[in-house]
Amino acid sequence: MELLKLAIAQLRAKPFNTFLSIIMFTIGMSIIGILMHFENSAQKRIEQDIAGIDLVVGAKGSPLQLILSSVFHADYPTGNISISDAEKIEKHPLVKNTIPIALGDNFKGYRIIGTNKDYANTYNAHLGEGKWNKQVMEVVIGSKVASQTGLKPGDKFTGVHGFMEHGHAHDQHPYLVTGILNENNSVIDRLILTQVESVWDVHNHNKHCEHDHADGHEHCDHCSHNHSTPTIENVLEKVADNEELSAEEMHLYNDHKGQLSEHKHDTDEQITSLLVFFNNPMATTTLPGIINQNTVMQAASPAIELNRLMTLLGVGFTTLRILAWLIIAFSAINLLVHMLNRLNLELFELALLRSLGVSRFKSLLLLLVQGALLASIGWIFSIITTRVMLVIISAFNTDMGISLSNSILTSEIYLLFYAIAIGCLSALIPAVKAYNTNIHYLLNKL
Amino acid sequence: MICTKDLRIEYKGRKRLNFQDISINKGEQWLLKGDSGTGKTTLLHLLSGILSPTSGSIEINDILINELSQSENDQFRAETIGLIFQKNLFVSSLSMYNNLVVAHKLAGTAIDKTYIAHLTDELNITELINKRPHELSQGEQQRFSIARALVNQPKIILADEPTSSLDNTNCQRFADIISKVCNTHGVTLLIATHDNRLDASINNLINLNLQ
Repeated sequence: MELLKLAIAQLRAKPFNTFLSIIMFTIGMSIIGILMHFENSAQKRIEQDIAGIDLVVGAKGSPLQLILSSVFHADYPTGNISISDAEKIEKHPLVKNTIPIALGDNFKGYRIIGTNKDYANTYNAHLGEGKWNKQVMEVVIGSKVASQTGLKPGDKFTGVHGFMEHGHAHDQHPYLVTGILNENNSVIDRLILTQVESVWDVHNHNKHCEHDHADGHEHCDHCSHNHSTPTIENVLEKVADNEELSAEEMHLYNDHKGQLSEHKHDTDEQITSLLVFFNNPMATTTLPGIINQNTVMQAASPAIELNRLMTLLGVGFTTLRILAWLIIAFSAINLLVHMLNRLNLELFELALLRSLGVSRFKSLLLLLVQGALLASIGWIFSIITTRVMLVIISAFNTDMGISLSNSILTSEIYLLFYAIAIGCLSALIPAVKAYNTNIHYLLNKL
Repeated sequence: MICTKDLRIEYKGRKRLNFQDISINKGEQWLLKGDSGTGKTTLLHLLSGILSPTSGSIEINDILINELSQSENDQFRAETIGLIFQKNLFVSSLSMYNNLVVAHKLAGTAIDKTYIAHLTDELNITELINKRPHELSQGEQQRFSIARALVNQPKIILADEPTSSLDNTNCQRFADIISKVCNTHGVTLLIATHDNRLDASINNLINLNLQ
């Protein structure tokens, strides 16, 4: 205790030096701390978004793309699968539950998801305002969608085809907002939920466009925009108004009629993907294989695909972390220099204490305690700065979705131990010097 | 009380010092004189256990301190010896009171607060105990040096050139105070010095020039 008091008194006697050492520690540890928080919230966020989904079944293509598009709603879908195929999976004995996902449109960049009530339940999303969507073309919107677009229950809007903000608008098919979900820090905050039938309705009407929009993957040029060249919409309008058609327009119209008749044979409705929940862990090993080998669909596990993704992202995190440790190493060297300088100035004080009967070990300890103190204070400061920075970052960038946890991360506790170790280590050289002080020689020099 | 025999110390190949045998009884006050380089400070450091002799024996208070280990020696010094240095050395970051007690608190020896209060009253420095070292005059610092040497109620006080930087008045005052205090507390005193001004106060003399 006395040792600690003396250590503190000696540190306080040189406030500027002490402050500099602490600042160096603070900077290094704050960077590491912020990285930890990013990683932590990213991981939490991802786990929340996966929400226990065991498997995603969709059209063949990149499995990562399938996961990104159907779970995180961040990429384009791989294609469509037919309802009848999806139903086969639903009936499989190892499957507990499935949720259909039908993508296709967005509103101001927020995706409109055709799905069922189970989807919201999976994310534990609760209604904050209004009521659930019961009818076709009714939607409930996530909290972020509501706050950014200003939509309220009772409002109507029309979706834009694809996933870009601007594109062909399905003007004839307005959606009606019936409810707003509470914020729950998952992907659902950014989504507009409707029934699968709504998506079908919007796009069936547009089946003049040569492919099914429900995939939204390949966007055909002539139906997205660009009304200056004859488009099928123009042509259809002209036909409806009994206007004359040019040869080119006539050609388009005939093509279109041919497609329509083709589509009529295709009675099978399609969805983008199917989220699958197992009732038996055994399914993890068997079901994906069965689907991938025996059907036109592919099955991808969110956990596996994300592991793959995280190993890629991990490189970036590692680099930043190495950088932060380098800064800490520099602060340790700074601390070492600072302590050595101080020791040279105060060595006679140490000699004095030694001559008055303070043991060698205690004089060694005195310097180690100082190193540890500087590091711990730096750690406390870094905890504070990290919190402040996170508040600032999340205020500027709401998309980051960093949830501010008041609690100290376990990794931050570890960081404290590392910091103390580094503090002691950098004090070790001066401490050993103090330990080996020849007090006779020193006292003689005075 | 203090008894040395065939004391010899060798610095690594450089210097060799032989000391005459010393015998000092309890409560006596002695001067240790000698020219520069005759080993006054070295002898004091040997007696306080800061240095270990190459050969010979030192017996203080019936303990052969040349046979003690490093840490036993530190402990012995903390309990038995009071040191006064040529310069007034203090830990600059601590108050005077803490300077008096810090070493003994660190060494784990008991602190008697009423004794310290009594001591500071005796030395007329009670009002200064909350000041920092740099706020005091030389004379005041010197009195704190004496107080510090006495805080642990030592059996022996070893002083190394304590008056070399003092003017005549202060030198006389120091001599009076230390004599008086050592007498009252029954402490054995050994002052290494080449200051003839102290001859009047202390009669016993060890002359290192004579060996």
